[in-house]
Amino acid sequence: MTPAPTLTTARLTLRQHLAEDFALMRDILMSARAAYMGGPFDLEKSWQIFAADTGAWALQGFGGWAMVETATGRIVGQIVIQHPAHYPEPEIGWMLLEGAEGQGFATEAAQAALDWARSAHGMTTLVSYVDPANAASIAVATRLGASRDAGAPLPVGETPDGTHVYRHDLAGVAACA
Amino acid sequence: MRMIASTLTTDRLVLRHPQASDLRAYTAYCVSTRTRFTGGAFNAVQAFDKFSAMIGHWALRGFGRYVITRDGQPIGHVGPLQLDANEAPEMTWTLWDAAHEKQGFALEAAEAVRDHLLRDQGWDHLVIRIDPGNTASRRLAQKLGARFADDPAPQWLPGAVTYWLMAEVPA
Repeated sequence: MTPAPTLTTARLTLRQHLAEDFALMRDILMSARAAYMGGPFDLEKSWQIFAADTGAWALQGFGGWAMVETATGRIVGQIVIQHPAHYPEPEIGWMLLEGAEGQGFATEAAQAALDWARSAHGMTTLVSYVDPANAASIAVATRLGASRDAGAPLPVGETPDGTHVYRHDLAGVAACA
Repeated sequence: MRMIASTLTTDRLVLRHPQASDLRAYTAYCVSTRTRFTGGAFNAVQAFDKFSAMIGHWALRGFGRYVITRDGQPIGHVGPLQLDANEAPEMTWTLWDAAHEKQGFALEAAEAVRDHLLRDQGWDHLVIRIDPGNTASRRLAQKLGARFADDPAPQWLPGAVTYWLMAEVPA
């Protein structure tokens, strides 16, 4: 069983999911907050998403992390790097629990995950697939330095109206650092 | 976490954790009509997701479904599944290819898991949910010593009939 590596940032610890995280993840996945991910989902599908993000590590060497506020031990969200067969390239996505928005947690966690993707896997670019109506997520992508890539291929079954591609250029970040 | 054996061995089979090399055979099963009783057929993307979740279940709960291997080849999966920590774990079994049916492999694998969980590990009970039309699986439940019960079907398997496998059933 390949676990997720633990990453730390100024305020956050990104760690392997634990079973008890499911209660919180389920609350997001089964609620209207999952609308931009194709939800809300039922219990079975919610478990499958959660367990798949945990198990993908063994198959691909990347997957999901629980986003934990280090000072309090409180889970504030999830960050995931994924490349299922219908995605043309690896994607990074984020999800915040209710009450955890507006504090820069998604940006801070995603930056750490992107740095890890570059150093651990040598990735030079990842994308984020975002619903154009999801202004909060677009703001995170923009803060991370990603920009809209209108020519990028879309996941199978998605449309240019429903999905915008934001591209993270890790080679560029490395050159600037 | 309720940790269980990572490997179980029977006369003819080895049950072990799911691994990346099983994905091809598992996907072939998922896209086939053999998943008709469990919500399928699925596509390859769904198969990847379901297989990832099978692995993730072990990491999250300490137990999960074993891949059944025969002479080193993966031929199915068997074992406990628990979506909701407040509900009874569910016992499941599946052979991935019709070529492996009618040889007692599913029963042999399910008996080994039943004995490990209820006898060695001291679990109290396992619930079994089966599509009412899946007569082969219902027969297997009876052979395992499971008791038919009048429980309502879970939301994710409408119409399913329920059996219970209790620790007091002689192994």
